[in-house]
Amino acid sequence: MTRVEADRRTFMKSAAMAAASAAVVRDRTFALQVLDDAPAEQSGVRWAKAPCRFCGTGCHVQVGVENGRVVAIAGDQAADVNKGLLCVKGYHVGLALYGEDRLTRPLLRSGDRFVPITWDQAIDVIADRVGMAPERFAIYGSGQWTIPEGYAAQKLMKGGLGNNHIDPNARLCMASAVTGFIATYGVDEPAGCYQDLDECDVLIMWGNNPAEMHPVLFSRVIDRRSQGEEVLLIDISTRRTRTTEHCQEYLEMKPHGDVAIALGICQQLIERGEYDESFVGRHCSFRAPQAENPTLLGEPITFDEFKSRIAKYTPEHVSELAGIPADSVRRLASLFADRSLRITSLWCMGMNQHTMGTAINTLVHGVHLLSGHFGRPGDAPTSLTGQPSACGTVREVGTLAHALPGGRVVANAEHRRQCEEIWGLPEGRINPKPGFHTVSMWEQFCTPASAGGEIDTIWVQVTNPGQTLPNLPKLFDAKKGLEEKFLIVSEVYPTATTQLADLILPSAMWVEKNGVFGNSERRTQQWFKMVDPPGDARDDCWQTIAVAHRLMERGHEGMRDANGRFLFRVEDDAGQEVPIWEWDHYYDVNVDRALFEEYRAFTRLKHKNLAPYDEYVRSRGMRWPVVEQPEGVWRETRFRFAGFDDPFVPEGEDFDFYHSTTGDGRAQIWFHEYTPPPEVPDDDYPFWLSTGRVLEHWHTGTMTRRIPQLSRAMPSAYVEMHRADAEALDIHDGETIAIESRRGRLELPVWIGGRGMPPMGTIFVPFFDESKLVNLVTLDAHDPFSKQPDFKKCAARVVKMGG
Amino acid sequence: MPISSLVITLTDDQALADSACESLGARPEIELGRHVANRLAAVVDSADSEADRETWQWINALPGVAHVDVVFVHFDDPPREESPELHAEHRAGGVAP
Repeated sequence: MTRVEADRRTFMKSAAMAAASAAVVRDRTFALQVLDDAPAEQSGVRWAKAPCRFCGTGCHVQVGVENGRVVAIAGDQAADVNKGLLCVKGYHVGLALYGEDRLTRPLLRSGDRFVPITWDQAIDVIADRVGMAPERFAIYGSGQWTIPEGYAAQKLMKGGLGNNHIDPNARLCMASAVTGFIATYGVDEPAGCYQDLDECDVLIMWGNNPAEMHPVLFSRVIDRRSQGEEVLLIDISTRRTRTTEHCQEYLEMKPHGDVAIALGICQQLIERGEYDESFVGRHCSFRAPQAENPTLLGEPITFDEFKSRIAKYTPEHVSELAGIPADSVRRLASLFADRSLRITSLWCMGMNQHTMGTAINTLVHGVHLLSGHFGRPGDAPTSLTGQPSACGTVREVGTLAHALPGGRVVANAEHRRQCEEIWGLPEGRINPKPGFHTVSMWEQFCTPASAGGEIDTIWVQVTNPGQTLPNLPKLFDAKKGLEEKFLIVSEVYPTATTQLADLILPSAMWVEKNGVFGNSERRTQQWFKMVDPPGDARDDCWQTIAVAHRLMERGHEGMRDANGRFLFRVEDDAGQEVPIWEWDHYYDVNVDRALFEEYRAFTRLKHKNLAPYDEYVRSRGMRWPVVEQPEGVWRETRFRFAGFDDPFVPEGEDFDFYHSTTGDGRAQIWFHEYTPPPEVPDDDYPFWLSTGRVLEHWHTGTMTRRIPQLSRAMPSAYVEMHRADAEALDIHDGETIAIESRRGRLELPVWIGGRGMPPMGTIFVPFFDESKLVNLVTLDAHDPFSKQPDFKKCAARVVKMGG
Repeated sequence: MPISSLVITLTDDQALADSACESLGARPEIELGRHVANRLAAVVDSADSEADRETWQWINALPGVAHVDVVFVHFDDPPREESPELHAEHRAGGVAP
């Protein structure tokens, strides 16, 4: 090692220690820009901010770049979300760019092989497919789309093609949270924020494992306890996880037991007369699904009707349904009855991937509303998201088959008119009929046209449905051999999805492009491109715009606005159009800024106001609604609907649910009857099968499995099972067994007494491993409102191999 | 040769926490920094990324350690390897020259 290298290394170590010491004492003034001030021989690294690429927490990192390559990552001390801390995935996020098999050229299928083609040819191929039958074309996107990427895809489809067949993978992860919020408050997304975790006295995790899935958020709570604060953690789950180890109370429930538990808490609060009569009387109404054709509006019921319907959910009955002790139901009700406590409920996939997903979401909101545990810091029902921009891109931009930006829906004539006006489109351009949601989109795609399949071409961006769709044999693998079907995949690495692709487009990722994400607490976060993508990889947003322009060149009138101008016209400072559809000119202007500023007009339609793009350049994100103050400062909102913080609550009011579905400023407390899961274990398939994630890998592992450190730490999928079940079947730890369901079969090793510990009769398989696709066996039954499938429960059997 | 820094949250059990500090301090690749309440700053200077991972896992499993957060990482050895089991099928399918 040369002296210069040694000096540089010593300098890096001192910077690393300074960063850790600052985090220990919570010194928010420390920033790694100090490295930029170092002599060149000590640090050639240049630093810039970005949100982490992985989960929905939205940790801010500082990215160190040297010689065109990301060489260092640091938690951002100036960021309120993570206060300088990162988890093991964030630690390695920079390496996700550098797997050796990055896709670098457009590839067109030729028989069993792929042939490199030019971008120009690739854009032609897509334009050909769209031109053949625009109404049979679909886009399948993601909560990993940046906001401008999702907005561009949304505009191409709904504003350009008059086609609503666009849906995201977020349908698989948080659609039930959306319907839960809308049914309760009339508007989506959490009212509280991460500050609730700092101020709650009780944290209840409903089927949630934040110790592994949102570790930096969980460490905020653990840290409070390590400083001597009293925080009661309660884990309600179907299996023990790393989260359970930190909880004082663990309630092991049967699948669907959460519905019964929530109903039981409400029953107790009312029977004992311990609900918050004042809060309910002033701010809530009661609601139930219609008997026929139920909708998110439901029908009104009185308090007495609610009381009558809920009366049967006694602690004893709930105990039968949910499998937890009756006294635990009473205990939970007592906590909610105590107004001196601050209670935060946290949930994620456990409540969302659920055939009663909308019901359980509304019921947990209802528990908080009925007990008055709402709207004070620490008193909040809060859902977390699994993807970095599931909120920003999917829920706010509205990249769903029924939605438009700004909380608008295609079925509403006034909403369509508003969108057409903002987009400058001729009246009637937007199609009023909702498109196919995820499960039905892929079902249509996998059904031959001759048998009624209505989708022929799907363009997948930033996601991996070949691994994540439920019941893969039916919803993905069935595409094989269907000659008229054509799958386009924009990706960064080969995946389970590219295996069936007909055209593969190499994409830029994360800091190889500009971006804007929106995290789980309504925080909008911006970053700039820092390094070039490899080879001929290009931005997804550019790909969309290039296709739109090619269609316009071919005469597709939908690609023009009412004045005959290109749908994605971007002008320079002199007012001249910049040819952003040509890659060489794409970065002549900041296309993200142009699209974001156009999109901002939508955000004001439903009080989700965003600040100008440049405000996000300056900040570590801001939580909407962001409203300009008289002195010109842009102010974010931490607690919606609460008079002390939300600028849209009239002065003097303590609460106002200003998007109430009943138009009277009230939130809805719902009643839903408990119903059993659609498939339950029986003699043929005696086990419950649940699926999920692990700490080391993010979702389908396409990025994290290419990071050697993470891949070695968790190399392949496994099945967790209870020791007694294994012994009964003469199965030993590490032995390869088969899991079978009515839909498929999967072979994988057994892990007994591992990280998660399912109870007897339950098995668990993570879904990150593309060589062991658990979705070959999962069920595609879905929630009737959100259309979100239930990946958490189906019936399966375990088969000893070679026996 | 990666350099990383960590914030280690120690358990409430003082005896276990003290024992963890002692074990951490005995590792030559770990330099301990400020210790405030239950939070301890540490820098790990590893020979390679594999050693770095092993150290991280060892710290996580150490009795007396409740939680480990990462603050900083500098990758001096960019990855050259790939998980061998990954995507063999894609490579086998190949890309036409």
